[in-house]
This record gives sequence, structure tokens and C-alpha cells, in this order.
Amino acid sequence: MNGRTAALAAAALVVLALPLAADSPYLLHIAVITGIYVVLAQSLNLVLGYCGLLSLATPAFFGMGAYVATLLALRLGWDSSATLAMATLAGVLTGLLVGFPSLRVSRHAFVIVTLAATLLLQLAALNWEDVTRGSLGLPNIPAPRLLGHVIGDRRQWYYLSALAAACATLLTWLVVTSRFGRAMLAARDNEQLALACGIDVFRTRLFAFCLSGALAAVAGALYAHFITYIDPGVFGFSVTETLLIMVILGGPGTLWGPVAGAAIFTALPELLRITPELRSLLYGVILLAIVLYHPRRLFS
Amino acid sequence: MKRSLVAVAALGIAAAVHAQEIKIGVAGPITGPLAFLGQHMKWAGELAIEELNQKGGVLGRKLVFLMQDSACRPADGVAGAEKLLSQDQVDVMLGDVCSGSTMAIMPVMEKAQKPYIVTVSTHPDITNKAGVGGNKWVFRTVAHDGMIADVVVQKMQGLKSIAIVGEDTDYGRGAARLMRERLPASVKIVSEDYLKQTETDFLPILTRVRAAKPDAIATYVLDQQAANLMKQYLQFGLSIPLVGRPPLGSGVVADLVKTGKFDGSWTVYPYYDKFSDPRNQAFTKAYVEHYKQPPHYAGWGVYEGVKAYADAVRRAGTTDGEKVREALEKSNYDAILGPMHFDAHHQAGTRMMWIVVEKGTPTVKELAAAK
Amino acid sequence: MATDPVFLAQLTANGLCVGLGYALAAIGLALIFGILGQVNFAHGELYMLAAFVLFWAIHSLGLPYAVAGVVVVAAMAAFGTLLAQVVIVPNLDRGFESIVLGTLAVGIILQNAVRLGFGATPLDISSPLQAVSFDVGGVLLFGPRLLVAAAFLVAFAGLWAFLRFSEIGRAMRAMAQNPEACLMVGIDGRRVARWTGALAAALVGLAGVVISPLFDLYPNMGTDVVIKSFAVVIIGGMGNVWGAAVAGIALGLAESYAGGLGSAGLRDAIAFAVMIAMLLARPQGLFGRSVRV
Repeated sequence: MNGRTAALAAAALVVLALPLAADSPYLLHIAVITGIYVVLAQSLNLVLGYCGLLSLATPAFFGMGAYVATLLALRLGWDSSATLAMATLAGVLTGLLVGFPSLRVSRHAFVIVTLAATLLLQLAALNWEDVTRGSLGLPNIPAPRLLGHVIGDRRQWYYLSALAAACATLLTWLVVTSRFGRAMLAARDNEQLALACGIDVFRTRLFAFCLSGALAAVAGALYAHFITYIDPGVFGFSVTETLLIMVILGGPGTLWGPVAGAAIFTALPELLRITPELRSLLYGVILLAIVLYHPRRLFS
Repeated sequence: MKRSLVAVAALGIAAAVHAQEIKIGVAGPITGPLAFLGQHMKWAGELAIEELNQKGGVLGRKLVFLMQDSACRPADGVAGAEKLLSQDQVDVMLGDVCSGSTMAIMPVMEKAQKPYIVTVSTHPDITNKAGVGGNKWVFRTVAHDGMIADVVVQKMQGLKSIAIVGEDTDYGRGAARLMRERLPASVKIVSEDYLKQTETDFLPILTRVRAAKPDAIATYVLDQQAANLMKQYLQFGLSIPLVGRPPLGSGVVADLVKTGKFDGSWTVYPYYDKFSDPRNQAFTKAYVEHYKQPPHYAGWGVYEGVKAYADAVRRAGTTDGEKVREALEKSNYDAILGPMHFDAHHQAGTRMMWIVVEKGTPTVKELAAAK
Repeated sequence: MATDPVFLAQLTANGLCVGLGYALAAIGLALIFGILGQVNFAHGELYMLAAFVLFWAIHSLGLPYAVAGVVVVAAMAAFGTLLAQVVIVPNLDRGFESIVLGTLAVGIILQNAVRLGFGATPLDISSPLQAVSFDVGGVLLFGPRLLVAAAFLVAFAGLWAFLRFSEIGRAMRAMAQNPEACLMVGIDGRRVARWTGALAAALVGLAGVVISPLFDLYPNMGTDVVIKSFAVVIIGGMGNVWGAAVAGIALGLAESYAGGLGSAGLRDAIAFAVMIAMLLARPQGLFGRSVRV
């Protein structure tokens, strides 16, 4: 067993044993949120880290997943294995819908198109009141029911979230080490050359985008069940802000960078709750300091 | 050896003192578009506990007020609540401003088995889901949007046509909808617009209203937006009264109202700081002395919430969640607006103020009771 | 009512004034996009900062509005230079992510610093033109809004002259066309970045000075500006100053008609609808990307 595997095994043990050491609902809450953010971070990592595109579409997928899962669970009473599947599908479809126009344009236009898509979906959620209840939101989302078993307490949520995070990371690893992954990296590092080698850059990126959509949508579904209330705010820019920080500072284009980023930058604002008034300001200052003085990211 | 004994003793006493403190927590908007209301919540909470502590605290114990940022986002509100409950070990929580955040926190309070006193959020669902058949830890001290809508529609009698302008949130749309449901069919609605909370430009709407000439504009926006709306209204030289829920009593629009151009406008609000009642005047005087601004309705809500809680703790003789909850159910707390009783759904029948602008001054014409 | 000419004329007048405001607010963003190829996520907060500094200058320093305005624009130019030096220059060759995060961080800091310094209570600046309004055949034209239009025209003319005739202006245009060639010809990219930062901040600062008296001030006020500015830049063409002007006016008019003839919800949607349509049909915007004036 080499060093890498040993480290992974140790980490897995820590993750599994965590609830026994940290039994407080608050800490478990943070841990669950961290897990969800790991999934989101890997989603952005695929597009930003491995394809080199600054995507602001993550909240679009996140929100879609949240709303699809919520509506199916609330209105039709579906079992969560089904709602999660549908949320994933919604993520992939949204990825296709947004990816098609946005991946054809220049890198800068891509940023704005993805932003526009997110804002447009938020607008739809706000105004399609018959379905989404608009700004009134959808409360009382039931706990997930996976194949009959209800996720009742924080501890079970923790394991579900950790499992999702692990799966997201595994999926990312599988994609990145595959043929598609190599194509993504080639296109990122030198688009002209990749095209010359016969790589269908557009198709490769679209694939990554759809996968990214699927991951973020699953995160959205989990989030909805966990917080038990969603409103059009799930399409908001604050999620993007947080994710950008997690991925870019964690190390885009690496497997564990975003995981570390998610953990650190979920914990940081919570740690800063000791100074509620200055919290947000300190967050900005720390962020700026890292950007200016620590050019090498955490895991690259 | 002696020094370390003293140190240990000092630490022990400090710990004991701290354990003795009664901790009141609130998750509210310190940042975000409603930071203005969060600021008042903090000020009011601190004023309330200062007054209580000066009289020796409650049950001989000092009170502490702790606030965490929710930015009115449900997830952040829940995180803040979790921290306050498990890390800071608060004995009670007061509700958030935004109903979405409040509702997300409700199940957390149930799990923690501590009372949750909602003093600002007005979404009717909070009451529907509280008390009998629901979350028995949740209490609401202010009138909710349904109760307020009853009074609003009553005061709208005689109007033949209205325009509706509201913020695109659960408050704006929800409260407007409740009003519309109670409105007689004979009243014509010439236009209905919901703008996002951060929207500042009312030109198109005012232009349309100017052309359509309704009898009144039913307004469902909060202070910041109202200030912008009224500023631009003045530029248009309109003379159509604002009715429904415009925040006419708010300090933010005081200068605009003083111009006299809004005479005839009215609102039904849970609170107005100029309400001339000796107890209210004592409260606002202390508030202004401390913070140089009159209390916002969110501030009044928190102030009364803290006092009502203190009253319940005194009667229960303990801060134990279960016992305080039972004490709250039997509450008769003498609030500024009258005795506070909670019904089966833990909703207080607090009266609402009908405020009419006369000669540039908002005046409380009536303390309307809920039906 | 929809066919009442006075009503339509009023909507048109409103739309033009609002549109010119959008244009003025957006040019700074367009410049940074076009010349430096960067997204400035602190754009809205710069606007907000200018408004609050203006408030401070009027209320704490007792300066009259016009004088305070000039002071603020100068101060913003200085701040923009500082920002460019600290955040952009070190990261010029490091890829866009650092500047994205850096400007994001600056935005967070500014918003919270202002909230802590001024409080969250909305503040009010009254323009000396507050009471001025002209009634032209039933159509109302408001003094403060005309000032915004005037400010835009002056700024636009000034910018055109600057980019056309000054040495640094030519360098900026060259940078927008071909950054690599600039290096070869010996144009100092850092100097261009500083000047661009200064100019962009000054322009958005001017927008803040003339537009903020129309509405109340609060720390969050930059959010809306940023979204509208992005829309204008997309529709007009990334980095294109003419494009920003035309797009701003078009957007203002479209919103005014949508809001006046339709509903507020439609007005919000219009900006996006036009943005999406533009991106699908003509992704480079109306005028394409370049700092052509």
C-alpha cells in the first residue's frame, strides 16, 4: 500500500468517525453543508479547472436540481432515489441547453452567457408562480426517503452528504483520467493545437458541461431536502462567489484541491461568526490577502 | 500554589457567572438588502436587556443578547441558529425578519426544544404551522399579514380603483394577495407590479399610474424602496394616495412625508414610533438617546419579544425550555400595545396601527384589533 | 391609454434618461473588458463607493454638490489607479481567475466597509436640481435626470477625445486590439492597466455622482448596477464604447416601454431577453469587441 492510498484510507477513516467525535448538531450541520459544497466544487472544477472556462452557470444547475427534486417530492410524493435521478437528468438537460449557445462563443462571452442563463432561470422561478410559488418559496420539503429508509437525523445526513462528496470526487477522477479528460486538458492548454489534433473541442466541453450540470443538480436536490425550504434565491450569485473561491484557491484542475477548498471555505465563515459584525469584512480581507500573497494555490 | 488556587477559583467563579447568564439569540440580516432592519433588531435587543439588567436581571441572572447574520437567506439563518443553539447555548431565539429564513429555522427550534418567538416576520404560514397541531415551540407576537389585510381592506372601503405596487418577495406578493382575496369584486385593479427588492427605478410604473389615474396606490414595499418610490412620486407631482402597507412612519421617509404632498395616504402597520402613549414615549426616548434614531418596527418587535420572554421566565421560575413554553402559553405580558395573549396557534392578538398622514404628519388614527 | 401620444412620449423621455444613465455606468466596465480583457467584479461597489464618498463630502466637509462631485471623480480616479496597481498589475500574466477573485474580494470589502462606516440606514443626497422640472407639452422632464444625460454626453465626448488624441489613449486602443503586439512595440502593459483602472473608476464614479441623488444610498446599491452594466456590455459588444452607449440607450428605452405598457416583471425580463437574443444571434454584440470610438 503506497503513501497515497494510505493517506486516502486515513482520511476515509477520519470522515467515517467524525460524528462520533463531533456530536454537536451545529458541527454536523456544517459538515453536511461542506459535503454539498464538495459536490458543487467538483462540478465547477470540471468546467473551470479542467476545461479552463470561467462558468457562472453553477447556480443554474443547482437551482434546477433543487426545484425539480422539491416539486417531485412535494407535489407527487416521489421516493428520493427517483427525485435524485430526475434532478440529475434536469442538470444534464440544463447543461445541454446552456452549453450549446455558451460554448460556441469566445471565453469572455462565455462568462456572461452563463451568468445570463442563471439570472434568467432565477427570473423564471420568480415569475412562474403557479409552479414555483415564486418568491413565497417552497417550504416543508420532506426528508429524503431512499428506498424506503428516511434520513432522519443529522448523523444520517452527514453520511449521505459524505457519500455524495466521495462519489462526486470519484466521478471527477474517472472522467479526468479517461480519454475525454485528456481531451479536456488538451483543449484547455492549447485550443488551437487540440483542434489540429482532431479533438472535437466543442463536444468535449459540452460533455464536461453536462456532467457539471448533473453534479450541481444533485447538490441542489440534497440542499433542498436538508434546509427544507427553497426559494428563487437558490439561483443567486452568492453560491457562485463562494464556489469560485473554493475552487480557485483550492486548486482548479486538481482532484483534491476543490475538496480542501470546500472544507476550508465552509469552515472559515462559520469560524468568523465569533465576530458577527465584522465577519463579512474579514472574509473579504482574508480572500484578498490570499489572492495577492499566495499565488500558488493550496493543492497545485 | 496559592496563586494557582486563586486562578482556579477565579475561573470557576467566572464560569459560574457565565453559566448563570440568560442568553437570548437572534438570527437576522446584519448584511444584505435588509441590513437596515437587522441593525434595529440588534439595537432594540441590547436596549431591552440593558433595561432588564439594570433592574437586577431576571431571576437574579443577567441577560445577554447574541446576534448572528442570516442575510435573510434560509441556509445562513439555519447555520446561525445552529451556532447560537449548540455553541452559545442560548435559552431562546427570536425570529428573523424574512419569513423564509424564519420558517427554515422553525424545525431547528423544535429539535432543540427551545422557544422561538417570532417578532417581525408576518407570513401567515408561520402561525398556521405553530401551536396546536404544529410546531409548539413557535410563538408570534406581531399581527400577521392575514390579520393586517383584514384591516387594510376595511379601510379601503369607498375606493373604486387601485394600482398595486409591491416588492417581489414572499412579503410583497403574499401580503398583496391576501389583500386582493378580501377585496370586493367591485374594486378595479388598474395595474399590478412586483419589483425586485433592489429595484430603484419607478419611472415606468409611475408613468403608467399617472395615466391610469386610480383612486389609490396599494403599496407593499419596505423602507428603502418606499423612499425611492416616494422621491420619484414627488417629481411626477402625483396626488394619488398611497394606501395599504407603505411604511409611512419610517424614519427613512420622514422628510418626504413632511412636504405635505402625501396627505391622505395611510397605512396599517404593526408599529409606529410616534404613537403617543406614555409607555411608547418612554421606550422611544430611551431608544433615541442610545441610537440617535427612532425605533423601526423591527426594533420594537425585538424589544417587546425580549420583554415578553423575560416575563415568561419570571413566571416559570426557570429558563427550562419546556416550562418557559408553558408560561408563554399563559402569557398576559403587559406590552406597549396592550396585554399579550397567545391563541391556540400561539399567535398574539396584538393590535395594529392605522396611520393616516395629515398635514405632513403621520398620525395614529386607530388601534385596530384583529378580527 | 396605450396609444396616448403624451404617455408614449413620457415613456420615451424616461427611457432615454435612464438609458443614458446605464450607458454612463457601463462604460467603465466596457473599458476594462476591452482593454485589459478582464471582468471587474467590483464595478458595482465602485459606483456605490462614489455615492457614499459624495455623501460624506457634502455632509461632513460641507462642500456644495458640484464641487463635491468633482472631488469624488478625482478621488475615484486615484482609487482606480490603486486598485489596478494592487489587484490587476501583479496578476496580468497569471490568468483571469486571480483578477476575478481579487475584484470580488475588493467588492466584498468595500460593501462591508461602507456598511460599518455609514451604517445600514438608507441615506439621501439631494441634488440642487431636485425641484427643477420642465413640462414640454405634457411630458415631464426632470432636472436631475437631465443632468445624468448631460454627464454622459460630456463623459463620452471626453473619452473619445482622450482615446483618439492622447498617447496613452492610443496605447489603450492598441492593447485592446493586440496585447502581444503591444509588448513587442514596447508599450508598458502595467501603465496601460493603471490608466484604464483610473479611467474606468472615474467614469463609474461620475455615474455614481449624478445618479445617486435620484435614489437613496445603501451599501447594497451596487448589485443592481452591476447586472445592468453587464447587460449593456454584452448587448453592445465587449469593450466597445460606442456599443455601450447604443446598448444603454436601447436598454433604457426597451425597459421603459416594457414597464409602462406591460408590467414590472416584463421590464426585468426584457434586459435578459435582449441579452440572450443578442448572444444567440450575434455573440460579439452589436459592435463586436474592440475599443473603437
